[in-house]
Amino acid sequence: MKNSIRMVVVLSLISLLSGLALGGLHGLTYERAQNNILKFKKIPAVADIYEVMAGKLPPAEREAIEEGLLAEKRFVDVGEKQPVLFFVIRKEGEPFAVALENYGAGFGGELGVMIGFEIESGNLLGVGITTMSETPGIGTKVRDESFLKQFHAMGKGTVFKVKKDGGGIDAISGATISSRAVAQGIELAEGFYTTHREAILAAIDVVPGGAQ
Amino acid sequence: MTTLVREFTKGLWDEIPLFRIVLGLCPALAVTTSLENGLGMGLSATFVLICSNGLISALRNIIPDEVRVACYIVVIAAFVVCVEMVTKAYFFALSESLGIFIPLIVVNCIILGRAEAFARKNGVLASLADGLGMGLGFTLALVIVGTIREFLGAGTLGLIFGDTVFLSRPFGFLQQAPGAFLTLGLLLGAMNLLGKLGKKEA
Repeated sequence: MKNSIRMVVVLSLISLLSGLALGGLHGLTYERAQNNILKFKKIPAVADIYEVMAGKLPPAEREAIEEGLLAEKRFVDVGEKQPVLFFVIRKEGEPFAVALENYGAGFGGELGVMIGFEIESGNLLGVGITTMSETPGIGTKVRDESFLKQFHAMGKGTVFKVKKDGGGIDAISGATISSRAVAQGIELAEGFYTTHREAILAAIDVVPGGAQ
Repeated sequence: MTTLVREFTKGLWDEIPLFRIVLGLCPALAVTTSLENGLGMGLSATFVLICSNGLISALRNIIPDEVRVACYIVVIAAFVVCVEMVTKAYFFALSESLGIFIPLIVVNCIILGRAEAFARKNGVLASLADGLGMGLGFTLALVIVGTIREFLGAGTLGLIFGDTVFLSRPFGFLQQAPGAFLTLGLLLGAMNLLGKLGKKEA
């Protein structure tokens, strides 16, 4: 009996101390890690969408654009747990599109999709992939230009599901689950954008108008 | 002192993890597509190995035998999560290219193996030396495999020479999994041959 109590106590203590130490370290590194994700994942995805509007940019120019997009980070508070992050894409200084991120269930966990919506028409401008842990060489193909270009200027009336599920999105053969995750992310983001369009536009001082 | 040195050096040749004990193959084959990845993986594993060896050795008289493996796993997992969080915050590119293989260090046989076979029977200093030696041996092996696969498979050595391309038509197959097996097999053969020759001379 004494022995089994010792077992429980030692294992619990070790677990407790490990947990506390990790919690502390998490607090120290979390912000930096989030910044990295913003800088190396989200911003490049927004820049991809920007390039749909402005055409492919040479590396130096693209770097400048990414730098600029960092300053176009906005939040909109719609009563969810946290204010929702989005980005403003400008054309000649005027807000042209907003980009927001959403997630779909991929093969290797959550798959992050950044979706740009044209403010005027509500259509998609383009789509970029942020974070994913899909199978290298298979699911990671959703990052390919050949897959993503179908979303350029895709109408807001499209059913954002893969064709197998009765929607209008061409899946990558062999990577249906990953393609589906992208579609799911777009569908969710589209829903969010439609519902909160006014709040989002108010956050960037654009008077909502045009096609709803 | 001599025993400490001995505990350290055995990991570098006599019991070099990848080539002699042939443990830790999963990360070794998967991440060694480049020198940089191999080095990053090796150093991450080395850090975990040293820390877990040291701590487990320090706690060896407290941990009851019946739950020792569970305790080891908790200790090892904690250090691995440390590595994961630190690489995500400070070495983001590396954490991206190593991906799932950093968390998978938890189940790297070398680490649990050293805890079970060495740290629980030896003093803290000896265990640290053992961890350092084994870790560096593992790193060395990954670096060798990674260098060969990157140089011949992609024609570059990004960590040292940046974007310089050495081979204009590299053997792309070495970047794939079968190429990893081939490289490892040839290296194992070469090591055995060297060992045999060394013995004959002695």
